[in-house]
Amino acid sequence: MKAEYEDSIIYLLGIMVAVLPLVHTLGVAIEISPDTTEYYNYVDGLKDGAIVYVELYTGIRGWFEQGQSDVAVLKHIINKIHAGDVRGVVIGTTSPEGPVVLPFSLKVMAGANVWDELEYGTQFVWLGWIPGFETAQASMAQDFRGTVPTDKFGTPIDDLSLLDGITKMGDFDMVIVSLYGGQDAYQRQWTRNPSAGRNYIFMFDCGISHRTAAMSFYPEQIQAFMTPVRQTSEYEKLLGYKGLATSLTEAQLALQFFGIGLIIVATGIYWYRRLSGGEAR
Amino acid sequence: MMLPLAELTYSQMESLFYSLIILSCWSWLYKGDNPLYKIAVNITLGLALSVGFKASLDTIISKSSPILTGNYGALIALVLGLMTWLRFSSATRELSYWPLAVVAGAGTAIGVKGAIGPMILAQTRTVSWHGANMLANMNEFLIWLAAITTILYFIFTIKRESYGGVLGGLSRIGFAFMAVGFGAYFGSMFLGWLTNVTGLGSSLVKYPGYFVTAIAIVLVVVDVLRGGAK
Repeated sequence: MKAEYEDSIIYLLGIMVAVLPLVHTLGVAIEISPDTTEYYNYVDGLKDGAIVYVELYTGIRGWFEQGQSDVAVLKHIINKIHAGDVRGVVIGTTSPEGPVVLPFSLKVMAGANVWDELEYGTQFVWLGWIPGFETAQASMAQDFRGTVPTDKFGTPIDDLSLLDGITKMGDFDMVIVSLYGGQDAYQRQWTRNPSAGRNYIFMFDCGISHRTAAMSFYPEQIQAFMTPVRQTSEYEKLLGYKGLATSLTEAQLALQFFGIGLIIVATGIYWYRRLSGGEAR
Repeated sequence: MMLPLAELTYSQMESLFYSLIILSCWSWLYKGDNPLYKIAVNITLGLALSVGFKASLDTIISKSSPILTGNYGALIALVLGLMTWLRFSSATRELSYWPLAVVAGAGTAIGVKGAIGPMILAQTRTVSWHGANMLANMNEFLIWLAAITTILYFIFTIKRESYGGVLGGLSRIGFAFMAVGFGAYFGSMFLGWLTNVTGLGSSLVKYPGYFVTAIAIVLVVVDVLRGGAK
């Protein structure tokens, strides 16, 4: 084999190893961590017609990483709506990418045929993009109706019964922020900022890189957080289905084994060549 | 097997187009700057720009409409927004800095107000080294040590060469903590990127995306046989 093709062949093998679990899940035993159980229990514990606000700050380029958490958690919430424990879910985004990302997640969820069964206005509301980012978040905390007078489709929120009585963020029973990237404005405005009048459960689905930032707010300010892929695959297991997060976890695992295998093989070849007197390249 | 284009649903056509865009972008890895890559990049940028423009336009229209019902606060925002366009003329450019100053000032004030409670006071309050859980105590001690030594590293009022002794040693510990922190952060970022790349690959191996993959493989093989690559 020509030396210049070695890298290409290794990359090709790596891609094949990663893709295999995407075609068919391998069935790797996934152990459920306490963090995931904690998160699941908070959502599962919602009752008495609770109203949940979900903030989608998932970027387009990070959908495969982060979007699976959105799908899993929304599925769980929708199940709770059907069970009568949750009155409804309000979805909004202070990211201009949010309205592009939600259809992706809905498309994945449509497979379970749960989303279409909800009644708009009474069981779920889509607020669309709320411009202004941190200024908007601070404003929503104090004056929700003034900041978001209409939903995504231009309907006044006064006409949406799910939002009756919601005047500030503190009126929601649970706020979930799905956050891809390193923004910490949500922690600033919706955790202990006195203006928020907070009495809700505050949880984070955060991108892998945001976990370090979220940890310093845990557990006193953020009740639970979930990172994508591995932890989401655990969540999928708790919900009883194998989604894309499970496949991606297996793909990562397979790639890690592939990497370790490469190191072992390369080291073996190196020493074999060296000990046999050849060129140890 | 032929691809039954006429029988594809809208969603499948979407997946097919999606796979085509992905492979066209990745073609840069094999062939460098090539027509397929340029087409994909231009489509992506054009679509992103148009989506952003449409979203902004919708927002301006929906947020400005309250003016018609007597909400004159929105009128101030609209005027400030329009003022940003004054930068297109050198004679009025100075005026375009006013709305930026308002946005930056308001943003900073709101950020600082929100930061004091959750990001400063709450962080100093949570540290305890003498709880029941020894492991948690150790963690809290490490967090405290990392915070103090990292801050020491960034003391600029004393020249680093003159640190010496205890201060120098502690700042080096801070440096080590930062290195560990940045390493862990990079590792996490890398895993995230890897996940996104792997996720993108999922549409390339499923129907109907694998037709595009098959064509790409054939093209690469032909190119390699003809002398290949860049």
